[in-house]
Amino acid sequence: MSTPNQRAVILGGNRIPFARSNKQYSKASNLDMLTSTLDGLVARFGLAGENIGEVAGGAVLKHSKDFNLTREAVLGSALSPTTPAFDLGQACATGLEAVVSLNNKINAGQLESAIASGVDSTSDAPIAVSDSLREILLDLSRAKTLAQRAKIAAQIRPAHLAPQAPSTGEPRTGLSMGEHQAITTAEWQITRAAQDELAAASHRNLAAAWDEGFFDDLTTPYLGVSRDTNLRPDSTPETMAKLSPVFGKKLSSAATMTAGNSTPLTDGASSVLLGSEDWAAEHGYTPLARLVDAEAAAVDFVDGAEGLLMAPAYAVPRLLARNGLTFDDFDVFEIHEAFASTVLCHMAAWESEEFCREKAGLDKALGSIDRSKLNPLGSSLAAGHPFAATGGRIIASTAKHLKLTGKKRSLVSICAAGGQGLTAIVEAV
Amino acid sequence: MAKDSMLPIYGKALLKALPLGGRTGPDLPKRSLDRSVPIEAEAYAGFTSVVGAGLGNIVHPGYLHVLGFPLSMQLLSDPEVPLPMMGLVHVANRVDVLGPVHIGDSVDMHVELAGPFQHPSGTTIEVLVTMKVDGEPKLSETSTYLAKGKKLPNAEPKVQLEREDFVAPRHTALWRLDPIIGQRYARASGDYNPIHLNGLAAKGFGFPRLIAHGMYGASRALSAVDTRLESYRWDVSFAKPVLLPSTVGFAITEGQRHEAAKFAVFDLKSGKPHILSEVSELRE
Repeated sequence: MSTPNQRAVILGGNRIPFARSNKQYSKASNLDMLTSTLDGLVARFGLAGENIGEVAGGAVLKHSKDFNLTREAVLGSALSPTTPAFDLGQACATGLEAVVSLNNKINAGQLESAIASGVDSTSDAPIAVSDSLREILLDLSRAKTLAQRAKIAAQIRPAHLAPQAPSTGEPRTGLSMGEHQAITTAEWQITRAAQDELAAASHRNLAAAWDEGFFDDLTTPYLGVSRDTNLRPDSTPETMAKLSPVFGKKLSSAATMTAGNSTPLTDGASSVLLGSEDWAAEHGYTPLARLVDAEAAAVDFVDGAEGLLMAPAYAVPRLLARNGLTFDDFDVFEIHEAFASTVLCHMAAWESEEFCREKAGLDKALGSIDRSKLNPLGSSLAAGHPFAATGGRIIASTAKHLKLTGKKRSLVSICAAGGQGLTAIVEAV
Repeated sequence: MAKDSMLPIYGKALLKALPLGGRTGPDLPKRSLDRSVPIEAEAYAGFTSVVGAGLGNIVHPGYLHVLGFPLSMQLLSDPEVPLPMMGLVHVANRVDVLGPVHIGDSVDMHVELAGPFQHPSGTTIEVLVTMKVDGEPKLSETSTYLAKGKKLPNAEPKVQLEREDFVAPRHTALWRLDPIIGQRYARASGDYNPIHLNGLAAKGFGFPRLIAHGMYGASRALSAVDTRLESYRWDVSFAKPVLLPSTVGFAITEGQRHEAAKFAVFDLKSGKPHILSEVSELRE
């Protein structure tokens, strides 16, 4: 019998294969993809008409009309329409935070069942008008007389009309995520070769997992796509080495980050089914694993004091300390590959005596990660990264991987915009 | 647009730039202007959104500069001022923030001129602005304007602040500036100087393209530093103007956000500074 705060278990998941931006899913909205993903989960677990305790989800790039995205997806799905839902957001950690918060609600006894989800379309993206035009249009809507309106409308110039597509730029710095990571990459002196090697391994591992049928009960084909379209099984460090750098070209050191060792913009959605042990038993589901703890961190990147994507380097030591664990206690490390160099910077930080002492507050280096345990199913460099869907992809995959292999423990780490990071421990049950 | 239009003043200044005979003497007229202005939330919001500041209850000193600006220009465009206003370049600005000014406060402004002063490359005039709220001093500002190549026989000697050698640091932020920023800041500040609005006008004054308002960049940089000090000195030194459109770098070079700091806006390629600025604690 589990202790009260250990009631929640991970039962499975479903995602649609991820597709590169503006390709097969270009006409699919966040709502379309999330609804299809939930329906795939419903079909797999026989949940049609079922009243789930709560569904949580979100999208990073969200239209203002999608204020109730997850609830709308529930209403469009085969789940009971009396299933409540809420939206949440923590940039790229949205999907994992959905899992963590629902897991905690189950452990708190508030829910018996839950579905964590996340979705992002970079194709069907909200387009904003420029700030100048927006100000004029808002003034226009507040004007009372025709003369006032005419006067305000006369301020509009052709240059105002250029639409602003969403970017991965940080609002406070104007630097894109890649430009930020390029600075961190240079600081940690991560080589091009190391990045290309990690990227090639991601493709190799993901391809092998698809070939073995690992994703057969974790994915549902969508719009004719039955595998992640970014996957290049024949990628090697040599083919990767041919690509031109795209980020870090304004820095004094050589640019090392390419389209191959950086994640592409991607469309996709994911979901994870959670439940209490009792609920799982009543429904005849076999628990895969349990999320035992999670830790978030944030860094002050605004003045350049720390790298934008370095927060997980701080979260992991705290998470391990609280649980009395070391790297040796883990069989799997699922570190989200925003960029190959992000993963390599985190690992370099954990190996660094200086970083661990002076920044992470430890008395020695945290240690090294056995590369054979790193992202054994491939990660975002190969699968792509529809921002809010990545957490669900990782949790469902690693939970199944533990069950399948008999391994004990997995460390999950996801970096996010705004200098944030969310990490979690998943254990076999 | 809640502020007075500056167009008539620029018109007057342009007229004065024409060679219609030298009616001006070498001394500054001994005049000052006083005015009370209420701080209105709506007009202030127009300013904060342009310079990237949060809309809070405490007023950005860049906006207080904007409030004093029409009076400054009125004094500078006086026919008796011995230097042509349209040729004056804003080279430095010092604001001592003595205490917070809040939305809804009525600000009593006093504006006068000082100078002319000697300068290695010409002559400077200073605009001195003081602001009080309910009799309480809140701000004291010195804006230094340079007339390049103009030497006046009676200009007083003045130790001009030496610009520190500047080595561009790695940028921590990029400002991608579109040409509309000139119009937006003009709308927010009431400063419709044509060199910020019209490429031909800018060319007429010797710039290859439109240039951004100096105080736009200065105010935006201060917004990024987002100081939390109650009272402080905000120094700005204007180097090369920022051409529009362009992408420029920003970084704090000493100190840190929310506190005393030195910071700069600079050209990413050449590393040359556009704006050098500092927030420091005011010593009693």
